[in-house]
Amino acid sequence: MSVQGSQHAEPLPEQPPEYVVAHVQEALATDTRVAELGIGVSVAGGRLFLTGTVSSDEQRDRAGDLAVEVAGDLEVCNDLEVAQLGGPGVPERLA
Amino acid sequence: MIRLAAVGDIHVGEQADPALRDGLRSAPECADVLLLAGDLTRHGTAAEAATLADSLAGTSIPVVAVLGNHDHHSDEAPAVIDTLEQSGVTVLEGGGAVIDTPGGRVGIAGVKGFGGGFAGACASDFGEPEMKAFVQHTRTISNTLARALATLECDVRVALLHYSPVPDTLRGEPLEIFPFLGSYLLAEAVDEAGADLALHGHAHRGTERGVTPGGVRVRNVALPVIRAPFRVFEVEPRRPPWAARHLEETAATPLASRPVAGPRRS
Repeated sequence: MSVQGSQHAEPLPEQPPEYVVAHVQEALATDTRVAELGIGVSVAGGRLFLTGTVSSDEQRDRAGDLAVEVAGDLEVCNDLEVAQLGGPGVPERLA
Repeated sequence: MIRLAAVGDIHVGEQADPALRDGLRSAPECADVLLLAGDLTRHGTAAEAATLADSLAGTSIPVVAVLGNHDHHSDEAPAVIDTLEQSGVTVLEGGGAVIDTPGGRVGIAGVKGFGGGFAGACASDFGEPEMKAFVQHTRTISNTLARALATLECDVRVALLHYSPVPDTLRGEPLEIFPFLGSYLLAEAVDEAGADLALHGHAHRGTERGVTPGGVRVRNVALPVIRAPFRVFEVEPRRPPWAARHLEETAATPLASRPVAGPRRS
């Protein structure tokens, strides 16, 4: 399976979804376009779900596109949230 | 009171994210020091470090950072460190810094940390060279952290890490990967030396609050967890202040493995 730097990752032949989950996770980490270790990948009802929080819309889209490349026939549901950076919030006082 | 702004896992790429850049630049409005808990870059390249340096340019408060696993990914860590230090960021890897603030002196000891897992479910220094190297990496780092923390003479003492010293702040991550997210050896080091606060990142799906077995507050400040450009902690100076202590170490009993209470399996 092609990893770093490839523009078109090869979809895998049909195989148990548990392995597809692992391969998508590996691709999300090692493909230089995404390089995310903190994304949750799971399968339910024949659909592959991406969960967690990423830093930008672009990162969310890149992760979703890469998952589609690797997930073969599984439908990819991109449930990634984008961290909306508001202010720092109320300080925590430690005494 | 000393005001600390802290965030981890900002994963800066070659293009700056304006929202993050503007957020980081607002830190001097509400804090005396800005702490960065590793994974400063996405791939660990000098170019990405330069983008971060540019975002921090002109920051009127000290910025202190540790590297994370992403910052080592391209085998350019020395160049990343150099680029950041040239722009005025203090990068710690086993060292410490004491900074004067209006509220007192804050001492920070920083290490990346590493994995291994937590008490009762952790790796052992046994077996193949690769396995031993994994455990010894964390053990060496933890020893370094303990020594660096113990020498800080200051009013508030902080441990700055990338990996987590406790499992509490990992809740939300799959249990099976806890050994890749931190190590109890890091907490042991913090408790051995003593500190007011331990900060870390790395676990994007974790939770914010935890505590070491020795009672030191732990905060996960990874950006995906706090969903803010940083968190602010207002810490009351400890009285009496922290005094420097020299921690003894022998080859047979590395600092982070000495028994603390009762028999322990090695």
